[in-house]
Amino acid sequence: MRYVIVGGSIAATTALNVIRANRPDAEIQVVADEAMPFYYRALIPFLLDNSRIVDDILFTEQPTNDERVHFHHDQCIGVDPGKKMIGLASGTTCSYDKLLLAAGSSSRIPDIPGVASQGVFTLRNMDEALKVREALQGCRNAVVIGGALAGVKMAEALKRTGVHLTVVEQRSHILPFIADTETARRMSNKLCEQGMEIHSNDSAKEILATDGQATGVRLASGKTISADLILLMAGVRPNVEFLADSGIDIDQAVLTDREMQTSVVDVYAAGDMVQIHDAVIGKDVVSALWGNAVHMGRTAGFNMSGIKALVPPLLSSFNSTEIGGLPIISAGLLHTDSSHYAVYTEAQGENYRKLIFDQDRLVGMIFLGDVSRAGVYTNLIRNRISLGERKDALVREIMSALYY
Amino acid sequence: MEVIYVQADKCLGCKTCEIECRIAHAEENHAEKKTLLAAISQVRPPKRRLFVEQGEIGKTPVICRHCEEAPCIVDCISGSIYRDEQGFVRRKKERCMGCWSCIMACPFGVVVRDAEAHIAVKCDHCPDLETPACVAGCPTRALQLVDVDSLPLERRKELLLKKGG
Repeated sequence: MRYVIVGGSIAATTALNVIRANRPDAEIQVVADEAMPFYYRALIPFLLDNSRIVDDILFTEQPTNDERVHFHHDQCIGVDPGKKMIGLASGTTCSYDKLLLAAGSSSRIPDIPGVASQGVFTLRNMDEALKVREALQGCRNAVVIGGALAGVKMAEALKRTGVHLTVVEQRSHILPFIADTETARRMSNKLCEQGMEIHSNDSAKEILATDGQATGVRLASGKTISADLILLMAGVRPNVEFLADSGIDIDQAVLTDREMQTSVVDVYAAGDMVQIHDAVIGKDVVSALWGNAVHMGRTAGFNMSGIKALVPPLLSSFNSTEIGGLPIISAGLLHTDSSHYAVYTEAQGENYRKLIFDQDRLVGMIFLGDVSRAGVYTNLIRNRISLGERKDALVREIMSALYY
Repeated sequence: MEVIYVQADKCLGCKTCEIECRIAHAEENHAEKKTLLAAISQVRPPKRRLFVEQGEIGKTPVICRHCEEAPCIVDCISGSIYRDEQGFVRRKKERCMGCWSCIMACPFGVVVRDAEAHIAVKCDHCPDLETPACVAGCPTRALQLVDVDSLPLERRKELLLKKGG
């Protein structure tokens, strides 16, 4: 059986490992536009301040360490489901019996003047991280454009190298996808106390440059921030352009069934390039969550191996991190103005908790500071558990835990 | 595979298992030097990895199930949580970056945050001991080692369905 996997991060490698384990006869071609070896993407901020070296962020077990697996450092430029073949940028083709598309997403580049200047970087993969690390030599002021989770994590890492750091976020608060206004306010305060500058409700209008070298950022508010290093962290977009002529159904991203098969037979998709349905908030979304990519990759891997599997319920918001020394875990719906929902909040010192209920179902939560036992409750959200009469006891249990 | 089987109806809530767990995870390298005194005199006393909780039907130790499809492994974004050769879900200290994704994922709430060391802490099934410390220390045998593979399916179902088991 000839398998072809397009992609080189966690969705691709998870599927690869499932296929390896279940199909001894598998002949697997992996096509990825990043050179080997595989690494943990979430760890690349640690490369910036040298708190980890490259070896420390690599997969401990490289799935290509298997004679049945052939790695191609190349880019997939098209899929021909009729011929069961993919085209590669190098000019060659690759035939498949089963194909997995897990090409991930790319940095969105804001459409403003000056983005091509020296000293301006997108930062999503290891190569880029190493380039930024290089550019940090002698850098004194850095600006991160985009204050969502990835932007803030990069900002913290840059800050640790001693540069003066400013974050620009166009929405009303930073961390829009993992926090509500109150949580974001608390985390912003924490970051500002540690010397970071945050401009929310403001956006970059132009990157200023002298002789092609970036010197600063002009904001919509008219302010100018001087900078010798600028990171564009303005979100990601799914890599789906190469599928335009393939006949594979695409909305915001690739559409699949619960077996992770696309609209074209024997073509599967997983990870950041897939559109998911979040049953909790009732929306179709493109999520870029690690755990979702693992679930999708695993499900695709089983079905491609001939073992039927259905992807579990996926959430579009399901995050855990630590920012400014404050842990935060949030899941599901994080903010609502609708009276349809019951919202509970509790604050105690640095700790803050918020719960959102739809009738007797927990549909959203934020734990800031004390995150203990958060998984018990995120799983109530994910599995849409009806709590019935236990709801009030649950609220008491969660909120009173802040006091002992 | 031998797993820890909890019989809630035998638990008196004495928390000996929690103490034994802490002692077993003291920093001392030699098993015979791992004592209660050694554990509590550490600068950072070891965290417990199981929890005696008050349930609806009484007290019961809540412990890592070393799940077959472990959510903590799925959501670990740094390659820290893995399954060892014996099948137990473990954590590589040096790989953990303190993102707490495992705490977000675990439906049993048994992964804890060591804020000082900035790492997640969970049950490792005491790989260096013949019997996990909590099981060896339990005075009422509410915690027992059971070889799941040797149990017939009916018995396994019976154990699972037993209240609080």
